[in-house]
Amino acid sequence: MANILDNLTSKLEGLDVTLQQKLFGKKAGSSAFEKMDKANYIKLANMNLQLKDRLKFFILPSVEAFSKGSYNPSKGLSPFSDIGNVFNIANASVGMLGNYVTTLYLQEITFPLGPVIEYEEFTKRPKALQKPDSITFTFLEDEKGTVLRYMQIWRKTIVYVGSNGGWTSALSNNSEYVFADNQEATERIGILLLNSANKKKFTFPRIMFYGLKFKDMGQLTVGYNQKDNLTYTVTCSIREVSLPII
Amino acid sequence: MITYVEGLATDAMSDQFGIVFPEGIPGGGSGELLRLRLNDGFDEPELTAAVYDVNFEGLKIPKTGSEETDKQFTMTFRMDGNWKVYEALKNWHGRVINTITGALQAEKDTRTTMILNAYGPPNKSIVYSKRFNGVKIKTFKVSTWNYENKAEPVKIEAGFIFINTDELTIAENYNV
Repeated sequence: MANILDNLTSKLEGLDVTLQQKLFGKKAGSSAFEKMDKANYIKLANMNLQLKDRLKFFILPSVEAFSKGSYNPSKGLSPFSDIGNVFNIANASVGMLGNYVTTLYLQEITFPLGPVIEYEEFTKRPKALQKPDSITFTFLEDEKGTVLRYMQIWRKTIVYVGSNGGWTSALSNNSEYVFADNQEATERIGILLLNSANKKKFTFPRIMFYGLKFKDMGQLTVGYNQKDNLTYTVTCSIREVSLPII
Repeated sequence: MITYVEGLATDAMSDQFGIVFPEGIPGGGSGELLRLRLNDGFDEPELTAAVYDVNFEGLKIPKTGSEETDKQFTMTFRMDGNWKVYEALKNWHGRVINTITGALQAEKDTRTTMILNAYGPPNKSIVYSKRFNGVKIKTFKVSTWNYENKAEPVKIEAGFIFINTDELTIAENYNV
């Protein structure tokens, strides 16, 4: 390829000056690549690049959250009782409140842009698909602990940890736990939009996260030498990252 | 050319300005006293956009990104003999952080609004006005005490932060 380009360049330079001008409409002596470079330079200068800080993230409860037959611990019922007609208020309402958290407190998101295709070593044929596993959020926190409360409520809709004091502890190591019956109802749908620089239109493809479920909140350090504000790093499990082509 | 220059309106003078705290200052101090005792002037912060470079075949294309303005400014005030200026600024700073208990007051109780007015003809009317929103005192320092300063008033240098600015007036009827 390089040899072909070199030959083309040398041939162009060897052309008659008048012919060069006729072909490329420019002064003699300048190559086709110079004109191409100049055109690309201008295109790059005028191109509106996507900025990373123009994000908007919405989080919605999954459709199953509005279905019946889900266990609601706030009713004080045993997880082993037959409560097929209980409306899962916790999942639906908390899921809707999630937007308040993500639009105001969310600072940063790190996520995989889709699955990883694994190839065979010698034949280079695809052999497996490594699906996206998790998404990481960084949240601010206010003095009311809004984000912490939201995440804890979300966690409690997924798993209920019993302790001597009742179904409230999340940190007891020596206690039994039970997962909610309707796990699909605890999922969220995440929508990531990247706004244009003038904040007037969303031209960047919408990125959807399906099967978003709370995983962990990492570690928190507080201390007398910590002068900055409190932030959380929340990890959520995801089932699918959808990147539409158009 | 000379006729053109003579026909120009008068220049805006850098000493024809004033600052006003229309909502007063947190802590109960007198904003009017601060206006009258402002010393040396007011240096407006520079509006800045973040710049990043895109490189292309040996050339650099700078592009602008998000806001990167250093949202702070400093003002120096002459101390009055009754130390009211000190009291006003100290009370404000004490709300921002109590140096004894470490308590911080709520944001809304520590921020105020400041307006910068520029005066011009006729009759020293306000030609230009800019409002600084969410002004909050950050630093506070009394000038150095010195026996050799025979005719030097005590000054207080205060640093402030703010959230954003509004252009309140534009000189529309001013011939340039």
